[in-house]
Amino acid sequence: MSGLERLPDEAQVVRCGQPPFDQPKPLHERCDEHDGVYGFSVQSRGNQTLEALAVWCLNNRIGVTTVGTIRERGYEVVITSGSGFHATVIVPRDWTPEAARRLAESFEDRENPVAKTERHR
Amino acid sequence: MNPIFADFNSMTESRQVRLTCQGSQDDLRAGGILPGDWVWLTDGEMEVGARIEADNEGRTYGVPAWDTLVYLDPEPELSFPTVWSELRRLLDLDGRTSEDESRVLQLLTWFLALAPPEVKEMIPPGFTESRRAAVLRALGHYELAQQEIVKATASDPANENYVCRSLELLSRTDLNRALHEAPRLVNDPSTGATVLAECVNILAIYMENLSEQEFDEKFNMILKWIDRSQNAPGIENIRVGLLGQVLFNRGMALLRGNQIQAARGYFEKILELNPRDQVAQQALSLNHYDASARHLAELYRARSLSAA
Repeated sequence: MSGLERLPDEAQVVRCGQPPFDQPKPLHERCDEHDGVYGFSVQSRGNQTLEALAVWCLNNRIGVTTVGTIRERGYEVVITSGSGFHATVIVPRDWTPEAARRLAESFEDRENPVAKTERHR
Repeated sequence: MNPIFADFNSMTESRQVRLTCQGSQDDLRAGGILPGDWVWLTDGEMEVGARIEADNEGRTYGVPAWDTLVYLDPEPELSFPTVWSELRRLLDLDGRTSEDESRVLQLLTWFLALAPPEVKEMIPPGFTESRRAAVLRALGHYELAQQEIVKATASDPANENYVCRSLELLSRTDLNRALHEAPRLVNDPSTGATVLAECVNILAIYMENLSEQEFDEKFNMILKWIDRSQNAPGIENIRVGLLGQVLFNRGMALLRGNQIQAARGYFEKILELNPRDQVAQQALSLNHYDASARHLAELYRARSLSAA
């Protein structure tokens, strides 16, 4: 994980799709390795608005939280390569479905504030 | 083929979807999907057609055809009559743009989601799949279109239009397989005129690239297939455009066989059916089978079957 940029606690975190992100596959089956760390993908940067992050989501619903909230639950968020403001919420490789469900609960279910036609394809 | 799970959060800088998470890998394995295949990717909220690729390290990606993206859940303000009304208007529209085609794909999805049970019962077997196939064909996604028309044909195997379109799409994605399938259908006495017309077209496309000697060897075969299609069950109800295609293929085969007057006779027959057929009009002035003739043949054979 060394060399990967850490995000400030107040940075917003957006995950495309409707929380708790468990249909049709549970969140722990959506994890993968990104730049040497294992976890699930989100959009996050310090000083970026919700709209600037959500524009990278094609979904009509998004999950929103902050880096600080994720850290309070014992996880880390780092910048990794990918489209837009891609970042990874790092989780253990043997992450359990129950632990995944608990973390997913920290994401607030919101409508994507960006119009469909403005979202990046 | 079932859709493949995709996490659209996990995309590369070039907007390819990483399919390396367990959820995607399980589906890829279950479907026996390999690089080069076309699939539908879904996260349960959206669906998009994509070609599967793998990088040098074996990591799998989906390269989406974004013009096929649809949202699975209808927007809350939409009702069935609204969706049906817009869908019908677009289906009746001549000269649809690619945006219109993408919209039709979206509306077909919502149409099925919103249709009351009594309406669903009235939908002819394979209707939505064949419409999806027509849209995907119009957008140039032949492999995805082929998958849809195969589903339509499975729902209604006796529907000649579905079989015909399936063959046409197969000839675009895999001409060898289409060439393997066509003789089987020609030799089946129950095959109708519509399907046989497409078999003729497939053989004509194949013969286009043959040497003169190879062409001569197949010349009688194509004439025999054309005779067969013109005497087949359902010839009296065949669409004018498709009958024109049979006549055009006959004319072109005769032209290449140096039977110029006979060839012109068939181009004239097309004009009797449709006096505004500009390609047939141009074909009348051909004196031999040259690059112009090949160009006209290509134009004629590429005509849309979406209304079939």
